[in-house]
Amino acid sequence: MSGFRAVCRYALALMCLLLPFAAAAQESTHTPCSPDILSIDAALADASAPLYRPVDGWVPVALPDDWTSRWPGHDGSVWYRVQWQRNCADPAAPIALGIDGFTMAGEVFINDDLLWRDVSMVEPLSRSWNLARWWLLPASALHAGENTLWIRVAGVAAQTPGLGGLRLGDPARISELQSRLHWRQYMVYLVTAAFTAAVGCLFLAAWCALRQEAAFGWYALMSLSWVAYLSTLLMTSPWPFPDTVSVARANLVAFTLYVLCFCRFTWAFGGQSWPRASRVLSAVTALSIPVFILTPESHFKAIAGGLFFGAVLVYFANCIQFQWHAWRTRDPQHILLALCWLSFLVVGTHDISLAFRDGRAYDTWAGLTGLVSAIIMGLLLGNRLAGNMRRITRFNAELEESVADARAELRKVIAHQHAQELQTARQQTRVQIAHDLHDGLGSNLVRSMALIEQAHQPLPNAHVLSLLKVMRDDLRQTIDLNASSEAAAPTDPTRWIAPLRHRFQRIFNEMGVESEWNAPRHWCEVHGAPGTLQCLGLMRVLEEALSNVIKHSRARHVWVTCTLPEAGTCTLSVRDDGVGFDTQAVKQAGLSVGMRSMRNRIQNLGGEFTVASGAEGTTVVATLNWSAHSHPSYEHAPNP
Amino acid sequence: MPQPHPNTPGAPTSDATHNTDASPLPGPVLMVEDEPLLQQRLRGILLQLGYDEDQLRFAETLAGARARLAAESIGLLLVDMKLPDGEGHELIAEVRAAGGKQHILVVSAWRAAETLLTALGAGANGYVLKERDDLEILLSIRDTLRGGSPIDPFIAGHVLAQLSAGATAAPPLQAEADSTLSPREVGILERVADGLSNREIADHLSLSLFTIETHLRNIHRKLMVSSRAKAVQAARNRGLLK
Repeated sequence: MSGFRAVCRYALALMCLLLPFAAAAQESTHTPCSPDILSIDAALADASAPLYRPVDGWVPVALPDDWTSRWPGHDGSVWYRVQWQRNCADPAAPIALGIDGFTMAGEVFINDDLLWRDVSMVEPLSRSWNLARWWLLPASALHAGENTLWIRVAGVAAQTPGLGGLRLGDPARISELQSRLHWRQYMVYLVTAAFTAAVGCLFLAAWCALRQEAAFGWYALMSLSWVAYLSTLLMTSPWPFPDTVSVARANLVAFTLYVLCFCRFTWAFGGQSWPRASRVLSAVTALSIPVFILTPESHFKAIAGGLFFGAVLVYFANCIQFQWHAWRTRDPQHILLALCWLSFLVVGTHDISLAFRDGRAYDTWAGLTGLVSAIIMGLLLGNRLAGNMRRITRFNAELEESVADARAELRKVIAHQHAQELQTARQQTRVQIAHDLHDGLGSNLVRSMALIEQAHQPLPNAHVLSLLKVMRDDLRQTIDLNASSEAAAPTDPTRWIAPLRHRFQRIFNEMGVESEWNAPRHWCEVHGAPGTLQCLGLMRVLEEALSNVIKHSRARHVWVTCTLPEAGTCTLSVRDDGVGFDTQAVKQAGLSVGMRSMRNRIQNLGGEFTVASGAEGTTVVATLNWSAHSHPSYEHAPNP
Repeated sequence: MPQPHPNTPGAPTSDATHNTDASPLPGPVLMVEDEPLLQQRLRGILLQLGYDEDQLRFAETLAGARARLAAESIGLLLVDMKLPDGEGHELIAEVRAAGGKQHILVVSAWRAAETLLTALGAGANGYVLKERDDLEILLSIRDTLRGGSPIDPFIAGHVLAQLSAGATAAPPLQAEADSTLSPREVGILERVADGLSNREIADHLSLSLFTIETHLRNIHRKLMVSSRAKAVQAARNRGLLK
């Protein structure tokens, strides 16, 4: 707070210091003069010697002046003579002259001294029609009482030739007035043109990126044609055109193009599709352009003026039609544009009435519309752009959602499929177990039942027990096959027979039987390990053979050998040095149940099973080849 | 079916049964088994092994077994895995958690790998299948009483597989830092997995049979550390241990 107060105090002190100076400065100025204009006359310059002031032919005129009504069709120079009274209390007081513009070029003399001359007073004429200027009249050139201003204006009949407003007075007042006029007549159009060009380029870029937004493209074209139109107003020399009339032609072409783009933009923006009207309008524009360019200068004003008013009428009609369209659609964007077009309608009406009232072109409001329309269009199209972006964002969200949905559905389908496959696999496993039971346990069961049934006398307990044990071991093998992964994939022959080796070696040790075990460290590299069923069968043979050695042989030495004699073949042999047995006698005793079931099993798997027994001992050999029978079929008829 | 190995030649077996006379059998024996016929079968095997009738105790449930264990100190415990009121390994874990040093042998009909590993993890000294002949069961009981190792080729293969897998995700039997297997022990395990007997391993490695048995006991102890810790934790949770 204190800081702010300090600043205030400082500012106050500064003002107190400066005020006396300001007052002194005011005091130092002279009392203003109030010059009186006594008369303004005009006379045609001699066409052969336009630089000489005419002696006669002077007619009084009022400024601003357009000489076409007085001297129709006159191209060239006209002299104006302004006589005025100085009326100064202070003879040293300066006097300033302000002129609103020469249409097109001009030169000014005070009494006999040249005050100003445009760069070019002959075609191509300098364009000073909308340039408000002011000069300090040199005191040495002034007379004490009456003075005369001589002004020569060079113009063309088609371009409302004449002299703009003129005033004399205090330099401060005149300079302020003229600079305000300069702003109004020239700078406003310049700023508008720059602004419109920028916006136009912006929308051109937007349209290049979004070709389907036709409204953007038409707005860019409309803006650029409006910039072209304004440029013809802002030129200070006809370049690059050869003369003044060419500039006027370019001006009308630009305006016509502007009206075309204006209509097309309005329709595209409002979503109105009128292909026929579009074609007609384009055709009319295309036809009118050569007319503007080629009409001879003598008829230019009549014909071009007619076409120009035609274009203005189209412009008005479009503005009015869009009001109705907006009323019908009630779209906020359309209503905003309709309001904008309504303002254009008012401006247009004003400017046209100005033309009819013979006003100066630089009094039009059209220049201002560029700013208004650019702002409103910026809002509208920006909003539309934002809408597009929102739509894209929303679309992305929807896309994400639908992708998630699809994914969930896919997951469901896959889960269902998986469940079905699992079901099938389970079913297959069950079938496989059933086959195993049927082929292994089942066939032994049937055989044992037949044996008991056909026996003439009750079988001894030992015999029945061995029948049951064979079936028990079959069952164990089936269970191991299905429940234990180790049984399914023996890593190598040594590890494969390791469990049996461990189990039986302990028993042999206990019984004082020496046992020797030999098995290769690796399976054949080409054919790998035997299949599960082959493993199962071979293990059963080994187990049964070893059991028989324990039960019957009275051996002191056992040799267990696993060999892989050729690719895809495995041979298991169990040899003992026991008492051996008479195969016939054993059959009689019914003690070979296990051995016979093993033989059947190996033969079902396509292998060989041999038993040789004698006084020097017994040898059991089982050989299986799985390269030819890699998939032993379950369809094998079980041996009863 | 209590038929004392009718097919087994008499001489070697009777040698086996009377070998143990030198050292007194640890008793009494508690059999936790709910099937009367199998109780009779075990009774026959134990009698054959040299136990007296008055040293044998029977329990048909876990609750009965707990009551027995509370009533007197038991020397040998034969446990079935599936009992009417629970799993045999729970009882083993409780006994071990309470610091019991009894010999424990699981006599089970189940040979699933998980069941076997669970029982040994709980602290059993051995595991034998009911379906084996009486002689095999008898040998298993005797091995257990001698302090033999319960590591068979299947267990050894399992441990080795976990070792070669890099012992990444806390395997159930793989040991912690304080119980890492030495290279010598791994070598012994590999031979066990190949099915070699302890004597064969001793010959292979030029070590004494006693050394091999010590190594195997150490391996078993190391493998038990993690699972034993889990069992203690479980017992604490049940309020059996303070």
